Amino acid sequence: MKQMKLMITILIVALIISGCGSSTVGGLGSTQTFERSAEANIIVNSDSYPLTIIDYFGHETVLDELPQRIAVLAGTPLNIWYDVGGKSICSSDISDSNLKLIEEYREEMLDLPVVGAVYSLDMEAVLAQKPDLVITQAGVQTSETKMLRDMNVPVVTTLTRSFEDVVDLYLAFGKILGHEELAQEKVAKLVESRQAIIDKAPAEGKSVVILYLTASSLSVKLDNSIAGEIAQSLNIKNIASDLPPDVIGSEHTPLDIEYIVEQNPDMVLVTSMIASNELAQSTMEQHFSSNQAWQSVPAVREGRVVYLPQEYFLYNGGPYFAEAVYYMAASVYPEIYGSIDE
Amino acid sequence: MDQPILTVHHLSVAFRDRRILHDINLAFEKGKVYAIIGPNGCGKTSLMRTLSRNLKPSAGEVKLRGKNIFRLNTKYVARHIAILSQFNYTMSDVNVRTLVQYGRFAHRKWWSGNSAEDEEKVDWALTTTGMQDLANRKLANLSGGERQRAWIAMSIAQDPEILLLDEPTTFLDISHQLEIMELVTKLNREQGITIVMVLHDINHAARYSDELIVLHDQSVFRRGNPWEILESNVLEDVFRVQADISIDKELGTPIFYAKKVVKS
Amino acid sequence: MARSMNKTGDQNVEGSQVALRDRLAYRLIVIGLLFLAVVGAFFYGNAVGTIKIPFNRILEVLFFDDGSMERLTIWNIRFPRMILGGLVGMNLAIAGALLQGVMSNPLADPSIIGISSGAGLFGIFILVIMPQHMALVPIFAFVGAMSAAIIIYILAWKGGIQPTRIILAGVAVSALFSAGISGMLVFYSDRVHGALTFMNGSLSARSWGEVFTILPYSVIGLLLSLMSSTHMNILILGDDVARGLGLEVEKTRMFCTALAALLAASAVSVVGLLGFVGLIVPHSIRLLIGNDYRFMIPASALLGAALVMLSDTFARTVFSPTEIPVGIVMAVLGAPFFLYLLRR
Repeated sequence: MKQMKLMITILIVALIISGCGSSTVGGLGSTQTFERSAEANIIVNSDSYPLTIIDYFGHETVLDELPQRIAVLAGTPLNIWYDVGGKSICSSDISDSNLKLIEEYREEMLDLPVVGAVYSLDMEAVLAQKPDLVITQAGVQTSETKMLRDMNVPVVTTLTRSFEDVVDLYLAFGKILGHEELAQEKVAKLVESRQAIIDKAPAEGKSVVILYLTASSLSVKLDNSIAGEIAQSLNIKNIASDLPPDVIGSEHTPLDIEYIVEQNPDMVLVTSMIASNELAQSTMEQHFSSNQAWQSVPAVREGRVVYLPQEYFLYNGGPYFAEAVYYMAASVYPEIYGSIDE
Repeated sequence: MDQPILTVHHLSVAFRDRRILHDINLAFEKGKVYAIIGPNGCGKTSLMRTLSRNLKPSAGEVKLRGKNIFRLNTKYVARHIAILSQFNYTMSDVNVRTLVQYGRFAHRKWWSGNSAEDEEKVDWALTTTGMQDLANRKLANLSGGERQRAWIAMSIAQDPEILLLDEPTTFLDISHQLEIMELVTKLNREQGITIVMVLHDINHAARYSDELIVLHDQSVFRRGNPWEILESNVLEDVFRVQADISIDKELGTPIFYAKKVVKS
Repeated sequence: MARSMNKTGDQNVEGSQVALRDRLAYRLIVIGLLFLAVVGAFFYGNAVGTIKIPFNRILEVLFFDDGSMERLTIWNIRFPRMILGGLVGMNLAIAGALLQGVMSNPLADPSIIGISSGAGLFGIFILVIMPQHMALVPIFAFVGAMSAAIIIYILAWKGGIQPTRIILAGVAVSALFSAGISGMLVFYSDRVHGALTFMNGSLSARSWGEVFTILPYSVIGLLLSLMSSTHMNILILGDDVARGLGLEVEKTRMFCTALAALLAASAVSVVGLLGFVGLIVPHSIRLLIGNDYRFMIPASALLGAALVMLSDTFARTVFSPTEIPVGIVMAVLGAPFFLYLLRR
């Protein structure tokens, strides 16, 4: 009996611990947390070689000259890199039809050797490419970054959440590649188009809730997510603004549906990790229409639901950031921007 | 009284490549007391488990009145044969009376409770085993002998013709051992229940049974009445001891006293 | 049953007469209290939430449909959610009680021994290949649960049911199926859209659809379990003894395992994988009123329902409006209670 009691006690403790563990919300990057060092963006400290690059973790990388073999291992940084005239020797798996690659270099980028999925890189394949410089994505590739660093491979980690991040990347990449003018040009165009859209946004915006849907969970996006930040820039009020994240540094939180009913947002925006945008939409529509709890939310009942496409809101639009902003603006304010079917 | 009610025909039991019982042939007559003895590993418990359908034969048959017990309806067999196993570990926390009531399971439909007749049988079983004052005690709160009697009470509440007992006295105090053996004898004499029991103690076997069945190397070595068996060299060959045989003057039954180990 | 017990009470010596009556009365009182707990938890859960609704208003909107937000909240959100929590708790608790009996192991519970994972895997699988037919999920989940059970029996059988081997086999099967589920979610994440239901144990945004999905299985499961009480009582005396008494041991074991699988699978189909209930509740009941399945089944059903309803209510109110997973709350509530019972 004593042995049994001990076994049961151990089992209970194990269950509690595992129960705590299972609270992580699914999705790329949400299980990794990190602190942004001060307000540091990715900084390149001089205008010509030798360069010192300080990335988001405050880690310094010194380059004497432009590296010959550069590996950019995540989708959005890759996009920006090519847009500024750079080339990569390999890439993560970007064959996903939802990642909007720059038309000009699309074929080229898809032909690059693949070194694994973005959330699970094959380190051996990366090293086999003998890169002189590796560019990774914070969050999803934090542990791979550390591994490379430990092996003395020069590696710079990037963040691609907000618009500022996109601008910083353009400028930094421009300096590294020696294409500063091109970078400035691209940035100026991007800032301008974005600003043009934002300027038309009404001062008193509509309210929304941004649902986030993966294969294993349902929660809402906070202000520090791509969709949340874009909404903020358009004066759209996110009813989940003030809520704490599920895990420190995360961009979502699970929400009691009663709160959504009570706050009665004007619109419901839906982002998802379900690969096909059409499939995501039909799934949610079917679910919403058959679930009485969701029917209690007036926006759902009356069809004021917008499905945000992955290429702009799951992945950072990068060069297409302005399109992302336009998409949300036109979805929420069709009376100002015209219907979304552009 | 002479026709055998339980018969065993060329019974063999094997598990993978291991031989557990080999070509056993036995006939048990109604109203008699049989004791099965033999050294450890000879197959005694396996034989009991096969007779009670807890082990399946790989060859041969066990028949109750000519019908194969493995083909008969389970409840039907339970109304005729009851078993008391050697180890009765259970996670159940029943009290004695409830346990004995389970003995009536084979006699009623599963959805009905116990009838008046069932309850009479339960009372009788409790009284016969002397457990009526302990009827409300939990099994776990009984002494070894009391617990054994409770299980026997459950078995006889089944109202069986044949009672199988696998080493009913092995872990009990001497006084409890005698109590159980006396009880078993009473059941045989007063109710006419056929008793088949595995015993560890040769003298209990000799004193309380009509026929001894000696098992050795997974087969029946010899059968006979106690005197036949004890006076021959059977036990010497099987148990590898030299023994003095004397007589219980009051009962007329043989007494087996082991003297010396026989080197093989 | 009562008739025979009264007879005994009349016949025997005084001391035993009092003891027996106490026992029966005690058990009935405990069951009565548990019933009150269920009712209390149900009303409490309906009364609290992110949206504050005064009690009299709750009664009003229960009977009159005035289209108000309160009416929608109570009718479409809280009411079905509480009912669902109760049914899920009942299902899992009864499943645990049955499994602990048929597997002779006090650690047997649908999640630990992989029956829930089996249900989850097959449920997800059917969503991948036939996404339109969500009504089929409980049936396939049941097939998955039974498969897991059969694998466990095959692995653990050695001349009879060996309790230790059962647990080891169960943990292995559970790990295997859980890995399968994770694998499915990773490789088919684009197709597992309906796996909304396979959140790790959550009642969030569930409504009448889920209630009516699980309801028939709960009702059938409860009735069949109650009818199997006597068989279970005899089964736990030990396989050999049970067979000797005339019980068809293999059939009873298979039937009760299937029953447990049905109950667990239907619960998994609507709220995902929820552990702890199936382990804690039957044990607590056992420590309170003993091992007689005629009382243990209904008592476990009641305690399981109350526990899940209360836990879910805390889960959505304690950090309102953020919800925390029900599983964590249940562990926090249940573990100390269980440890206290162990020390008694």
